[in-house]
Amino acid sequence: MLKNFFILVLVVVLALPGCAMEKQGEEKNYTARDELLGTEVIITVEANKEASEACDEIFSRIKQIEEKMTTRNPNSEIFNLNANAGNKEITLSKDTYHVLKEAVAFSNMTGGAFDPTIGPLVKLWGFDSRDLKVPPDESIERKLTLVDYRLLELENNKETFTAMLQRDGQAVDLGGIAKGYAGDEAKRILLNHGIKRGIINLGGNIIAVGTKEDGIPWRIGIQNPMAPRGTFLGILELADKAVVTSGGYERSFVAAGKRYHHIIDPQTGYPSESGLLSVTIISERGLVSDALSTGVFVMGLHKGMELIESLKGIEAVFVTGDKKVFVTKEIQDMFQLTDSKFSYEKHK
Amino acid sequence: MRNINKWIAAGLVALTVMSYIILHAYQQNQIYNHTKLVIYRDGEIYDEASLSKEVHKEITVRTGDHFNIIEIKGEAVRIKEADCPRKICVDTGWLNKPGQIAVCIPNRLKIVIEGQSGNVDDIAY
Repeated sequence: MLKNFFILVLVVVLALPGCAMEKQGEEKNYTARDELLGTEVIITVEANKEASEACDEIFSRIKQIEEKMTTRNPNSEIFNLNANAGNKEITLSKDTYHVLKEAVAFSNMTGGAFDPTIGPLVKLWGFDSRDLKVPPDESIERKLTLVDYRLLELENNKETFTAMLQRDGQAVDLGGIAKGYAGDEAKRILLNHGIKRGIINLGGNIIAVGTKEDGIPWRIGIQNPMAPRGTFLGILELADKAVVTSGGYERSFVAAGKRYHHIIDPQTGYPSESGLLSVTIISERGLVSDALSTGVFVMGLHKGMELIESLKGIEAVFVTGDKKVFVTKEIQDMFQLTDSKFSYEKHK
Repeated sequence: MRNINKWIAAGLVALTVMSYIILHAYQQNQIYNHTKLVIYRDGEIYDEASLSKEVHKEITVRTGDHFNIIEIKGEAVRIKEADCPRKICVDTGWLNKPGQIAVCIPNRLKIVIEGQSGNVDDIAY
């Protein structure tokens, strides 16, 4: 009897690995994707009966944001604002007003290193189209006088929101902030549907919602700016944060043997040459991370580090041209360098 | 009689141990060695190819009137030629690690090396 029991136990034990494999294959996540804001948007959330509905709602909300804030579509509010620059004030939706208001706040915070009125220069260099070229110095000089966020007037009277660009030829471009805002809206929609964990990826802007199962933090790779997309140089462990990286490698072109990237310094009119290859900002909100990653990239390591260290709840990873990685004090232990071609400059 | 039972028990123990070893080897293999190329066109999977030392081939993907030529050489893959205006996809060069991506936005094509990418949930780029 006893021996038969022993054999039975063994048979069960033998079968166990099979069970373990079954479980591994179970679908725990729901993934949806779409192309919006000129990029690929991928949402991966815990499989929940509302997941599909929530993702549909997110995509239509992002589409709505895009329609209001694009510079290309003649029906957009920003197109309308730009078309009437130096002419008249425009009535805006609360959405667009809110993003413009925040954009101006980050312009102030970064001393103009981030500037939503960069539009004329983006257009001149062709970064809004496929027609990229190095413009003549005089054209840059001329357009540079139009880049000034202080000439963007914003007014809010009860439920009426208006804006006006003071000078003819000025143009707002929300390329450095709208994706971040869209990410925040996506997160809000997930939470409204009771979905507490997941990752929203808007063309590389990551909104990590909650944690993984059992409260384990997400592991987010930081792009190696010198290698193909998808290659990371280090890993950040975090929960409930928006992670946005800005780097020259994202979009650039070569002319006469020189590489020109898409992050234009509002002070010079040329692609920023701050010595950084990339900046990653980690904060509670996508909008904050998005705007600051652009601004801090232009500010450079020293000024940028000083600014971020002065802000509570906002952290950063800097990658410099000489392959050094610097992080803010608070996240030293959450960041792990995985690519030995770079050196991790820890605080002493 | 008693001896036969002993042999059965020993045999079962050996089988159990073996099954665990085989399972473990299988999982290891899945995680670390099994990388494959996945080609997406218009957001849908267009083709897949396993990446191993012996392979050397080219795949031409047509999207409407446009094309991208994908070259697979051993465990590496690249977009070798394309008729898009800025050739960003070609400039990306060789991919050889899981998680790496090359994209051709004008031709709506994406190639990805799939497989366990060093244990991250996503990448900020």
